[in-house]
Amino acid sequence: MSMTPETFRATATAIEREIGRVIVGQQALIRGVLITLLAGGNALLEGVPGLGKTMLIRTLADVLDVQFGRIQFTPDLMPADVTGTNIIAEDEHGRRFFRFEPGPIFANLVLADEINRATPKTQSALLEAMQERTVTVARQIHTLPQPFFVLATQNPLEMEGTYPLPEAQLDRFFFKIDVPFPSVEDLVEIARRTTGAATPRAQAVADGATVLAMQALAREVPIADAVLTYVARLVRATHPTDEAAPDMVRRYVRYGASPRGMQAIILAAKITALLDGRFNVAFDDVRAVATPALRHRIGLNFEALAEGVSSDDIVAVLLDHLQPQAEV
Amino acid sequence: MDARPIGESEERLFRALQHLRRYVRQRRMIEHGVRWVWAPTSVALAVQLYARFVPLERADVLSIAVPCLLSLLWLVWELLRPLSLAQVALQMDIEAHLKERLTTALDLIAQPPQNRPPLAARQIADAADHAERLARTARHLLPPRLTAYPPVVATVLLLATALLWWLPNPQDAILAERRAVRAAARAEAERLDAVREALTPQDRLPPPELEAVLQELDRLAAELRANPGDLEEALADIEAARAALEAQVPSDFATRQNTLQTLSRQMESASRPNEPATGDLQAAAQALRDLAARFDTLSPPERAELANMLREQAAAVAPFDPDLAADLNATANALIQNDLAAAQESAQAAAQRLEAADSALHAADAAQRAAEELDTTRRAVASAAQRAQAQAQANGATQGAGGQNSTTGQNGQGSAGGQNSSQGQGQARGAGGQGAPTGSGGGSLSGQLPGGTRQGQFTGSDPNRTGPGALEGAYQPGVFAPVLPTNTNKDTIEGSLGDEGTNAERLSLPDTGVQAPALVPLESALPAYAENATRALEQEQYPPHLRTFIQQYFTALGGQP
Repeated sequence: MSMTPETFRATATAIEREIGRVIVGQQALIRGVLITLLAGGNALLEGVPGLGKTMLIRTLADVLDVQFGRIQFTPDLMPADVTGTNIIAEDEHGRRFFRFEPGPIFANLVLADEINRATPKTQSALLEAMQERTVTVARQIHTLPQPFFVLATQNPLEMEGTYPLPEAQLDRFFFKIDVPFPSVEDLVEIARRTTGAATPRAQAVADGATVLAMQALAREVPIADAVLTYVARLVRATHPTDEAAPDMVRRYVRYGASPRGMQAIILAAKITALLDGRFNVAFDDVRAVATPALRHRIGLNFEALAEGVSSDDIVAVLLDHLQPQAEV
Repeated sequence: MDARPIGESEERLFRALQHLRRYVRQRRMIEHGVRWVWAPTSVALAVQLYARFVPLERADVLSIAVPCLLSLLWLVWELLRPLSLAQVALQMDIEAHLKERLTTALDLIAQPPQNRPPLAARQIADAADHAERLARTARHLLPPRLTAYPPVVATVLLLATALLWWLPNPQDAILAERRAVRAAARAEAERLDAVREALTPQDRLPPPELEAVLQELDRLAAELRANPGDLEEALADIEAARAALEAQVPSDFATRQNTLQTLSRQMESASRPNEPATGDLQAAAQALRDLAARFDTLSPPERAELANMLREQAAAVAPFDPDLAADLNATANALIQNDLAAAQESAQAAAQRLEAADSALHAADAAQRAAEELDTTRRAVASAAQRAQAQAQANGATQGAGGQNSTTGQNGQGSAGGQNSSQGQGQARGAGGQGAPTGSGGGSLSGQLPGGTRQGQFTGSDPNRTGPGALEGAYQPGVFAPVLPTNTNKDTIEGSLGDEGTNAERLSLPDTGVQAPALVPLESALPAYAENATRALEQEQYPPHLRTFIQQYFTALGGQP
């Protein structure tokens, strides 16, 4: 399927528009989810219940006309409940054999709701699928459908009885997107849309193949060496031991972002450029996507937690500290 | 996907970037020039401030030249400073919010075409469009970013510099002193050259003793020429040379001279009784040789008389020349013993020693005269420095500063003071018309210069005054014909300028001369001066109409020219 920057932008705009028919406001959330999808990554949404996370992913599935799967993570959820398992079946001759029964992860769009409530073992099963795009059961590898996109959610308030994701697993999420509480105007619109007789529905404007073509085009966007260098400097500066790290990083950061963070920034910036109608990545694209790409990849120390310093604050300081330099 | 051939887009992009590069370079120069305009002005102020604490020649010129030079270097550097298209592209991307279109396009162009991503052509075309649009509007969209603060600072610094330039500089006095010392040192070096020339024998190589004197004068002249204006250094050099010259003068020089002259006259009288004795040692040596050749013709009483004379002279010279005394005694003994061969041999040896003594005596005399000249040099240099300082402190006043003869603008120097010395060797030997008249109660004079005349009158100074007045001036070519002092209560020089002596002038001699005591009392120096004057008169170095005057002058002082 041929994809041009113009059709890319038009399709993305159509997707956002259709989602916007159902989801009120939350443009940043929708844009973040869309960028993650087009980059071939997975997103971690953090927000209190009832903000439309599930509605968003379901709507996205409707707009893309792809298969949707939902997994509610609980402490007793087993890996097989996620990936699927072999069950004994009989053929027409009465012979028994093992048949693989795919789990809910075998879908194009998967909602992993409250992922931090499952045990680490179950979390690992999901995260392996996210990374490898395959599931191995009984030494048999099962390939997940393409496109494959996991939208995991976690509740920042209820921490009791949860298993916070370890840093290595957090690093596998392309973006971590905060879901803000809607504004008054958005709440009014939500009330208007959801309490009336008619329920708004989104139309399918793309399909899986279109998404895959968009993913391929996004990787072709050129990026200047100066911008690449800027991203590298930015990622290095998240490390407290780096010479260019600002004082705030040295004081509050325990560990910095990995190279995956840099890859996420660049890919997201490329998509941002295409969405903006450009054929190249700009510094502004990098700065626009730095926060969701880095916030879950920066580990804060106890002092930061005690003083209420968030990783978003750190990224903001970094962006302020590291400005593109071009003075000649 | 490609809107235009990639080559055409690249060409448009490069053309636009080159246009932008010219503009960026111009704008950068303007911005940097305004931003750093305070730097050259601060350098100018620093030079002026520095010149307030440290004597700095041509501080005003430097305070302009150094900033100008720095600005010129900066301008050259700005013009030659490399400015790549990549730098221009990145700056324009950021300033014009082109979202790094130009930078990315240049990166893509740098890649081989086969390695470029599919979007490269469109990206480069897009960048070329933006670059062309920007090139047309850059002057309006991106004007020079100027800030008012640096020019304000530069203006303040410039005003401060102008104020410092306008206010009197306390270091001017030191600089004037240095200049005066430098000029005086060079003039004195010239004069020493003339003294050296006068001391050098024209018909033969100088003996080793005299050679040392000449070398000392040479060395001092070179040091004075190299002197940058340091008064202390100049005085130290002069004093060292004077000490070295005085070391070559025996302490009993006058006694030796008188004794040897007596010996010479005795020898000449013995050899040529009918001729007047000159007192010259060379003549004495020749007389002794003549006598030795005639020993066999002398009668025994004549031999005895000659032997007695030789013994007397031997006894006289024995304290400072025992070898000569021994030879004279040996000659006398041989004559008494009628050993004529031995007597002749001893007489020949004595004659050689007389010639050697003559050389040594002349060298010592030259050293003494040179040392006296250095005394004049020392006073001239010190006086020049003092006068220059006073002049600078008086903010350019030309009158009343130590008797400076500034009305004539002549060449050469002279000095007058109230101390007990009088020197005239300079003109007596034709040493460039340099002289230093000083005197106690009677004043002093100086004078001769080649060509033309200049007449003046030194009326003397207070005999009780210990601080001498000084006259330093540059004389026009001519002859300074002094008049004997008639009024010892006035510190003035009256005289006239020009060949006809028609332009009368009066120079004041305030009591601000070189404050140094006379090193040689008048009664000690006068005989030598009188003798020098006599020699000069005999050699006809003075015009005939001045000879009588000179004789009267020395007679008035108590000497016999």
